[in-house]
Amino acid sequence: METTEFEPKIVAFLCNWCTYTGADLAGTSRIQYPPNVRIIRLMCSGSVDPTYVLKALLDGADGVLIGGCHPGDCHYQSGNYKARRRIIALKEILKQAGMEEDRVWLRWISASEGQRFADTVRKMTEFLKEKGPNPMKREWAV
Amino acid sequence: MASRPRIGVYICHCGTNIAATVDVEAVTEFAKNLPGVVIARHYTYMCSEPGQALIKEDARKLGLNRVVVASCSPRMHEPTFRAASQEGGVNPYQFEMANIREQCSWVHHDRDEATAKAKALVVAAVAKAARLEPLEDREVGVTPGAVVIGGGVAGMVAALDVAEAGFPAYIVEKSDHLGGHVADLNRTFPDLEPVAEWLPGLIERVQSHPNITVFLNAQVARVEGYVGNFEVTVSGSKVSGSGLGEPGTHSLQVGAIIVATGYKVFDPHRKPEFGYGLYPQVITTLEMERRLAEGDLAVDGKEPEHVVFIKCVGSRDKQLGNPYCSRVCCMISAKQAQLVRQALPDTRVTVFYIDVRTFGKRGEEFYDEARRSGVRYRRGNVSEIYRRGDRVVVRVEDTFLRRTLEVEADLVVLAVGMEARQDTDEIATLLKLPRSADGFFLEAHPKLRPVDTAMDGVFLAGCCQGPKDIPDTIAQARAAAASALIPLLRGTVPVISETAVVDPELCAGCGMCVEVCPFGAPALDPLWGVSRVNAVLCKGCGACAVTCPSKAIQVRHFRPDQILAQVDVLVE
Amino acid sequence: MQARIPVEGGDVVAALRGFLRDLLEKEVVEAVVVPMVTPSGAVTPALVADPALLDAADPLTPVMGLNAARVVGPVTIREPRGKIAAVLRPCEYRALIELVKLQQASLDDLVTVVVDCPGTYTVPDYETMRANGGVDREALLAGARTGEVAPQEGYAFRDACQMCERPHAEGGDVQVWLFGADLSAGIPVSLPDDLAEQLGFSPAEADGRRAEVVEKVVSARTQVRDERFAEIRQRLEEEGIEGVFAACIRCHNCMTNCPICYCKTCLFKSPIFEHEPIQYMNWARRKGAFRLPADTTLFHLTRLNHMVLSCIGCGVCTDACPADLPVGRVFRAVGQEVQAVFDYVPGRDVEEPLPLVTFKEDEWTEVGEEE
Ligand SMILES: Cc1cc2nc3c(=O)[nH]c(=O)nc-3n(C[C@H](O)[C@H](O)[C@H](O)COP(=O)(O)OP(=O)(O)OC[C@H]3O[C@@H](n4cnc5c(N)ncnc54)[C@H](O)[C@@H]3O)c2cc1C
Ligand code: SF4
Ligand code: SF4
Ligand code: SF4
Ligand code: SF4
Ligand code: SF4
Ligand code: SF4
Ligand code: FES
Repeated sequence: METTEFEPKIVAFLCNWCTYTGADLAGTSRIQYPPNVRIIRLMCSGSVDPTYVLKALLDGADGVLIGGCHPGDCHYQSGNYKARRRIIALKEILKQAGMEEDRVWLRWISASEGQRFADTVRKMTEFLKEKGPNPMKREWAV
Repeated sequence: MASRPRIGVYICHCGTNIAATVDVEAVTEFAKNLPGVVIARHYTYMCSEPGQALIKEDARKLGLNRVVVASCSPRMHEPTFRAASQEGGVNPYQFEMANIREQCSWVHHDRDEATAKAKALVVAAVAKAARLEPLEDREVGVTPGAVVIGGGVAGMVAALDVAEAGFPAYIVEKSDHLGGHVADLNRTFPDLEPVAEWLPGLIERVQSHPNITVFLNAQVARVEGYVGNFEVTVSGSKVSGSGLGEPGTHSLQVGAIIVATGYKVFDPHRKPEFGYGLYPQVITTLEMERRLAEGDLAVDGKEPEHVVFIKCVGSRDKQLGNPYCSRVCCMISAKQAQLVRQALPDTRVTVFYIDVRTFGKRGEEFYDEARRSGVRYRRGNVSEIYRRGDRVVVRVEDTFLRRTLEVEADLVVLAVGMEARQDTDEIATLLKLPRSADGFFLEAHPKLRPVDTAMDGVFLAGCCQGPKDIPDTIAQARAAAASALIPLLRGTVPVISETAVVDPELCAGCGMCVEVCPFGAPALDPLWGVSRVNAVLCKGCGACAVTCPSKAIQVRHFRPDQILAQVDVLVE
Repeated sequence: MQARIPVEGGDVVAALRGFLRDLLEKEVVEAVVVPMVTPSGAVTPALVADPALLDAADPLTPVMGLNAARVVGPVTIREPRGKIAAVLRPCEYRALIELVKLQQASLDDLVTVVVDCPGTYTVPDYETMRANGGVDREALLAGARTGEVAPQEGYAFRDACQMCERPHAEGGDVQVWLFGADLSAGIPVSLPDDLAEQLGFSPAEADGRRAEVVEKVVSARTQVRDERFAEIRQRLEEEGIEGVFAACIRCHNCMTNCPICYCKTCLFKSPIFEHEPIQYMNWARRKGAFRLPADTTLFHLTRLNHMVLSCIGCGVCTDACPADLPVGRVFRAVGQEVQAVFDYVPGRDVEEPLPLVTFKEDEWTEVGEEE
C-alpha cells in the first residue's frame, strides 16, 4: 500500500534573502527533507501576492508555504510585516469562503536556519498527508 | 515586448553532486519537449569554460533568445551564466536558473523522486524564461562631494578624508561651534592628553581646508534623491574667511551623505533618587570635565574630603529603557578619579560600580593606574542619595557582602551614559534611516556592514550609531568616509534592473504603492494623477505590486504572469 | 448645531429641495449632487448647478441603482472645480470615505449631506411601482418616525437594506435626521455652526426619540442580517465559494457596480488572465474538464481579497447580478469577519488607514512561528 500513499504537493514562495537562502543552506548542509515542496523564488515575502496563493490552491496544490525573514530582518525593512497582515487577511477570507486555510503556512525562516526550513517542510508534508488531498484537485467547476 | 521564445536548457551534473541523485539524461529528454525549448543538453560542469561555451555556441548557432540552466543555486552562479548568455548574444536578463542541487539532489536521496522534482523545477524555469523580457544593466552618474551631518570629531575626521581625496565636503553643524562633545572635555583617556592640545588643531585643519565648507547653527531641512545624486537643503550660516555669514538656505548636490550626529548624555533628572539638580554636590561626568579643566573642585568653597563616582547611570538599566552599556563611562570614571587624586592628593575617591569594563587598548592598564593612584573601587548598586548637613549620603547595596551601607561624600559624580539624541527622529525621517531598539541609527548589518545603512549612499560615523570612545569614533568615521568615497571615485553607481514600472493606462492613482514603498520610489504625478517610479530608488522588493489591485505597477522579472505561469506548472 | 428645516404644507421633499436651493443661492456651494427625476420619470444622480432645476430633485426617492459615491468621485477628485454639496445615503457616504482613502474622491470643498435611510428598492421594483401608481413616500416617512419601517405591499426593500445595520446618518457635514422625527415640526438637521449661520438657521431641538428609533430599526435589521449571514455561511461551508458562485456568468457587473472596486481596468480583464489556447487544453486534460470562462472562483476570491476590508455593504453588487447570486451577502458576511480581525470599520473615519497599507511591528508576533 505504501507506494500509493498520497504525496502532497506544496508550492513554496520564498524570499530571496532569508528563506530561499535558508533552503540553500539545508542543501549545502545535506539536510534531508521530503521532496514534496516546489520553490518559487521571490525577492521578499512582501511580494507574495494572495492571488498566487489562491491560484495555487484552486489549481489543486495541497499546500502553500510562504517563507520570509524574521520580523525586523526583512531586507526591505518592512516587507514581512506587510506580508503578515496580508496573509492573515487572506487566511481569514479562505476560512470564511469555505476553503481550507490551514493549507497555507506562513513561516519566518532565516538564511541560517537550514534545519528549520527542512523541519518545516517535513512537518507540513506530514500535516498534509494527514489532512488528505486538496479537494480542488478534482473539482473542475471552479 | 517579449519575442517568441527560443530556449536552450542546460542540465548540470555538477560532477556527481547532481547526477548521482537526479537522472540528468531523463530530465534533458523531458526538457526537449517543453514549449519553446529548442535544445536541451546535459554536461558535467556547466560553470566550467567548456560548459559555458556550450551555451555561447548554441545561442549563436540556434539563435536562442532565452537560456535556462538547471544546476546550483542562482545565488551561486547566476552572474556566471548571465554573462555566458550575454556573450552568446542573449540578453542576460532572459536567463533563468532551476536550483536542482541545493534544493533537490542534495536534500533528497530517492532517485525517482529527485528526478521528478528536478523536472518540475525545470518546467517552472522554462515557463518563466519564456515570459522574461530583455532588460539592460543600469548605472547612474554620481555628483562628486559629500554632506556630513554633525561637526563633532566623527564629522570633522570624515569630512577631512573626503576632502583629502579631492571631493567637496560640507559639514552641517547644529551648534555654533565644531568639536561636539569633545569640545567640552578636559583631558582624554587613556593618555590623559589635554584636549586643548589636539582639538583646536583638528578644527583649524577643517576650517582652512579648501575642499571643506562648514555651516554652523545649521540643520538639514530636506533630502531628496538617491545614492550618487542627493540634493540636501541646509538652513544655517556658512562659515567663510570673513566669519559667519547670514543665516540662509543652501542647496547642496552630493553623491553621498555621512551621518555623524553623535549622542546626548543621559539626563540624571530621570533618576530622581540621585537628587541631581536638587543637591549642588551631585554633578555629572560632563560637568566634572569642565571643573577639572578649570581646576575648580571645590563645593561651597571647600575642598572635598570625599569624592564618589557612580557608574552606569542611565546605562544597563532596563527600567529606563536603556539596557545597553555605554562603553565609555568606566574609562571616564577611571580618568576623572585619577585626575582628582592628582589634583587633591588628600581627597578620598571612591568609585561604585556594577562591573568594571575597561576593555580596549590600554584600558585595563588605565584602570590599574587609577587604583594605584589610590582610587577605591567598590562594587555596589547605589539606591539613593540624600542630604545630611552640607554633605550628601550615598546609600549603596553592597552586592558582594549583601548589605546596605551609607557613605558620606562632598561631591558625587554621576557617570552618565550615552543616549540617542532626541532629534534622531528628524534625521531618521529625512533620510529614511531605521533605528535599532536602543534608539541609535541602525547599521545595515551588525557585523559585515557596520557603517552602511539601509539607504544606499548614506553612512554612519561615530556615536550616532552607538556609544563609542574617540578612537572608535575616528576609526568608524574614516571607514564611513572610505565607503562614501567608493561611489565618488567610481563616478557611477550600479542600480538593479529588476525595478517596478507603472502602466499609466491602468493606474488609477490610488497612491497605495506610494504608501507601501519603503524607499519612496513611486510618486503620484501631480499632473496626470498616476504613479511613476523613480527607478534609481527602486529596490525591486515588490511591495507596491502586491498592493496594486489591478497590477498597474509590476516589478520586471517578477511580473504576475511570470509567477502565475510558474505556479501553474508546479501544481501540475 | 442642531436645527430644523421648515416644512410647509407637510411637503418634506419640497422642504429638502428648499434647503438645497438655499445652498446654491446663498453661494455655499456652486452645485449639488442629488438624485433627480428625469423627464421620463426615472431617477438618477445629477450634478445640479441651476437652482431652478432643483424642482426635479428628489433626495428621498427610495431607489438605489448605483452607489452615488461612484459619481461623487469623478466630480471631486481634481482641482480646479467649485465647491460642491452631495446628498448621500449612509452607505454611500461610507463608500465615499473609502474612496477618499483610495484617492478616488476628495472631501475638500465638498459638503456632504447624509440622510437617514429607511430603505430603498431595486431599480426594476421601483420602475414597476411607478408604472402601478407610484411610491408611497408618506408611509415610508411615517415608518421612519416610529421605527416600524415596512416596504410597500407586494414589494421588498433591496436585500442589503433589509439587513442594513447602519441606515442612520453618521459622519458627514450635514446630517438629515428622519428617524424618530416629527417632520411636521420641520426636518431635524445637524450641521456646522458656520454653515447654519450662513443659511440663517437658528438652533432647534431635535426629536429626542431618534436614538431609540434608530436602535429599533437597527436591531430588527441586525436580526435579519444575522439570519442571512448564518444561511450564507452555511452554504459557503457546504458548497464552497465555487458552489455559491456556480451560476456566475462572469459578466463582472458586481465588480463594475461596486463603489470600492475602483480600478481603471480590473485585473481580471487584463492580459494576465488571457491564456494561450494550449493552456486551456492542459487544464482540461489535468482535471478532465475545465470550467469556462476560466478563473471564475479566482475572480471572486481575488475580489474579496482586494476590497472586502472596505466593503461597506451597499449591496449594489447583488442588485446588478443577472444570475441573481447573493454577491453582497457573501461579501458582507466575509467582510464582517475579516474587518473584525483588523478592528477596521470601513467608512468610519478618513483618518483610519486601510489595514493592508500599514502595519505594526509588535502585532501578531506569534504568526510565522510554529503552530
Ligand atoms: C563626560 C565624557 C567624557 C568623555 N571622555 C572621553 C575620553 O576621555 N576619551 C574618549 O575617547 N572619549 C571620551 N568621551 C566620548 C566622546 O565624547 C565621544 O567618543 C565623541 O564625542 C564622539 O564624537 P561624535 O562626533 O560621534 O559625537 P558628538 O561629539 O556628540 O558630536 C556630534 C556633533 O553633531 C552635531 N549634531 C547633532 N545633531 C545634529 C543635527 N541634526 N544636525 C547637525 N548637527 C548635529 C552636534 O551638535 C555635535 O557637534 C567622553 C564622553 C563624555 C560624555
Ligand atoms: S497602487 Fe496601482 S493604481 Fe494605485 S497608484 Fe499605484 S500603480 Fe496606480
Ligand atoms: S518594488 Fe519595492 S522599492 Fe520598488 S517601487 Fe515597488 S515598493 Fe518601492
Ligand atoms: S444599505 Fe442601508 S443605507 Fe444603503 S440604501 Fe440600504 S438602508 Fe439605505
Ligand atoms: S461588494 Fe457589494 S456590498 Fe460591498 S461595497 Fe461592493 S457593491 Fe457594496
Ligand atoms: S476586483 Fe480587484 S482588480 Fe478588479 S476592480 Fe475590484 S479591486 Fe480592482
Ligand atoms: S454580477 Fe453575478 S454573474 Fe456577473 S460576475 Fe458578478 S456574480 Fe458573476
Ligand atoms: S526580504 Fe525576506 S521578508 Fe522581505
